[in-house]
Amino acid sequence: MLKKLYNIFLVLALLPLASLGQGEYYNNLMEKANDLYSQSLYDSAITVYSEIEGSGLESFNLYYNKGNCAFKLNDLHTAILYYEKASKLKPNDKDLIHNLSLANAQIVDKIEPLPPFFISKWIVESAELLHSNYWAILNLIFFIIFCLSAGFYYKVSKPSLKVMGFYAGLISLFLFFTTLYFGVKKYNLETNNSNAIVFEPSLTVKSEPSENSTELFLLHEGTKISILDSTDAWHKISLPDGKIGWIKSETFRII
Amino acid sequence: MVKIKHILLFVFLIFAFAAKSQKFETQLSSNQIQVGQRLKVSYVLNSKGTNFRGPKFYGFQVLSGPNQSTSMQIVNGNMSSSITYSYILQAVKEGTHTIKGAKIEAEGKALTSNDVNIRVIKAQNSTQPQANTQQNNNQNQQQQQQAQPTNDKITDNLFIKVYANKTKAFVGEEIIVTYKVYTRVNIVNNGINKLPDFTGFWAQDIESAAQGRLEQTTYNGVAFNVATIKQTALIPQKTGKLEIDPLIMDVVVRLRDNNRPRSIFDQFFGGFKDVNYQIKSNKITIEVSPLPSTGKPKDFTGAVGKFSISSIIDKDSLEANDAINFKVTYSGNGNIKFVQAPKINFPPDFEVYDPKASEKVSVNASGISGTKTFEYLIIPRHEGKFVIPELSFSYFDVTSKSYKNLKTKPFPIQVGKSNNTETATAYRSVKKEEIKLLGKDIRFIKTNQQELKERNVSLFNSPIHYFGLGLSSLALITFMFFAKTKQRSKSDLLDAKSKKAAKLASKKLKDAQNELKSGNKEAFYEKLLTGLYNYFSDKLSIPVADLSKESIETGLQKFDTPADLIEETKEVISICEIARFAPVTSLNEEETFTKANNLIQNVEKAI
Repeated sequence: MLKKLYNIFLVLALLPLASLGQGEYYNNLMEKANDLYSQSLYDSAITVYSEIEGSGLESFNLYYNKGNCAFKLNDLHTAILYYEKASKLKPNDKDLIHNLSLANAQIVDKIEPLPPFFISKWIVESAELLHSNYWAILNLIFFIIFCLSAGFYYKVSKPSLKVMGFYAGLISLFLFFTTLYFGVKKYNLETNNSNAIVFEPSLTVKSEPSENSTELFLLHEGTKISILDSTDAWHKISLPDGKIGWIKSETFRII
Repeated sequence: MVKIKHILLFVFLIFAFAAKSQKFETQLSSNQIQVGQRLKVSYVLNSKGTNFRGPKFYGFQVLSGPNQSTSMQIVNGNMSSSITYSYILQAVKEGTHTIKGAKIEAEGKALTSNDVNIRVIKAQNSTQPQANTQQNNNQNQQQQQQAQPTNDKITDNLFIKVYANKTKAFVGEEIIVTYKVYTRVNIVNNGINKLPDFTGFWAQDIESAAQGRLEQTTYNGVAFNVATIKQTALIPQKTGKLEIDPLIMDVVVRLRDNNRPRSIFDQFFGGFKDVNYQIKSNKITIEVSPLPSTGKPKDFTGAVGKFSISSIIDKDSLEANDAINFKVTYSGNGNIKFVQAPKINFPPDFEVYDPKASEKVSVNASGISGTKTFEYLIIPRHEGKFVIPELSFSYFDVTSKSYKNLKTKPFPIQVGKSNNTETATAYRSVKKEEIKLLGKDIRFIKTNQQELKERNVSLFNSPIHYFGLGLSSLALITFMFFAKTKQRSKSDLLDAKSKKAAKLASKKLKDAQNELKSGNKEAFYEKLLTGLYNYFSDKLSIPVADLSKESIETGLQKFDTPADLIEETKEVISICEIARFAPVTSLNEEETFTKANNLIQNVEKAI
């Protein structure tokens, strides 16, 4: 157990060192791609962005810029896919919201989403204020504060100090659970792979996972869908307005 | 020879004189007609007459008449006159009818003209002989014999030919089609029966002075009179093989009639008859090909021909809110009527009105040519330097079969501040403009450096996260554990003492009470004092050696005991001390005892 922990620690400590040289290389690539974009060479720019993406690295800027390239190349569904990817990392960016709404205005399907319950909307909005990394850090800090106050409370004998320690512990415990809650929410949103963008120009959604089942409705490329369930070749999807049906695997890309 | 003629004329005149008596007779233009045909009936009187009364015509309808005409002859000083009353009749019924004589009074005598019989036969299918039709088939033998040679004669000598200046063209390229009549016969009357509809073309007739004028020409070695009857400029609107319908024309041809038995008049005036005849031009096909798609400029709007473009501006520096006239003129040959108003990107701050379009297009034998002008009224609303951008115009050049692009030059415009301050300020105060949205586009990319991270790696839910949480709770637990053991080893005894302090104290107080009961006052105070000292020593963990009023006070202060309680403690201790060394009789022992008892209870409550 201890050895395993030690190993994890070692890897985590060495990881930033190993990727330092590599990171430099990709940062340069990023600059190169940005230059190409500025010269309106969207075709070349998008291949460079894809190369960075292929290395397994990601950043909000990478997804946002790649989305812009695709938009300029009139590849709307790819643009939407990358804007949505960027949105997972930084959902409140004003430029991103503008571009995504512009791209969404140009796709065929107009879906009226069901209005979310206001409390759950607040929770999601609050969770999206910070990246899950920061929630994790806050969570740790509050836990450490809680431990300190508990220790303090235990240690001091003066009643006034004890009261102080008690309240500090109580508040930090509350904040610990709050950040834990939002952190879990945000972490789930970030690692949620159940949303996808339709990549087929025209896609018929079926009532059952078989070719000869009833055709329910038509979707067009660029529409955002949620994957609810999967079999080998078929996926159960739902739309923001609550419609549900089955589609084949190769017709969409996960955000 | 001349003498003989004179003699003959003389003899004839003598006869005429001899026969000079009043004569009134009925003459018919024909003695056999078809139903529906016309008949001229003339009543001729060889002297003056009055009171003419015409008969009733049974089986006929009077179309006109009686028409009176007078003729006068003077021969050798002798004057003779004749009056003719004529009717134009139309046969209504078939059969043999009698045209009755008319009555007239001449020189006091009543005269009646003779009756004439006429045969009206059944009408044929067509009352008018028509060439090139099958309707002649059921004409009777006699008529056919009569008509056939004349029609043959006409077809060779009268026809329409259509000429096109080209038979292959591009969409939008003009074609000129000319219809010519070739004739060797005498045409009395003509009229166009049916014009071609030129489907698939935009057509414009060409008016020219030469139209309708007869010219001499030879066709297939034969001399003909030729007249151009119609000339049209055509612009194809679609591709493919387009057929132009024939033009049909009705003509009345005057032919010498050889079949009719010649009367004496025919010899003088010739035997002519008018024949209605229909002539048709040939069909022509024009092959229209689409314009080449290669090299088609983006701004091409369909102009085909040869054009030039020019633009004029009436001033290039002015004050704000003044007007500028900007004129674009297209000129050339081709489908200029199809040239549309150009799309000009005026500076967005300019107020631009819809252009006024005017065209001068002439259509003549060489094609369609002319100019088309678009006039823009522009009002700059703010001062500054502006440019009316260059204008690009593309057309398809027919001669080189390629697209050509023309450009006008851009006009820089200097707009100064409006001098008319009054209106300018009024304007300014009222007009607050919203920012004009010129276009919608996505925002620019993010160029700032941002750390690239491993995908799907988050600190949350990571080993580090759990490690941190575990570590801090572990630290807390160990801290608490160590703190507890240390306290136990060091201050457990004191703690226990402090807890037992009250019990010990109450024991001492009981001893003191026993002393008081036995009347030993000094011992009472001593016991009471040590009891109190011991109590505070245990309670406040103060070593017995350090015990004093002051150390008790500071000890109490450490535990945040109320000030009055500290005062009370000090008071009780000083009373005991004083009473121990100098017995005060005024003090009530019982009262002191209860005070000390209360003090301990109060301290127990407070700490």
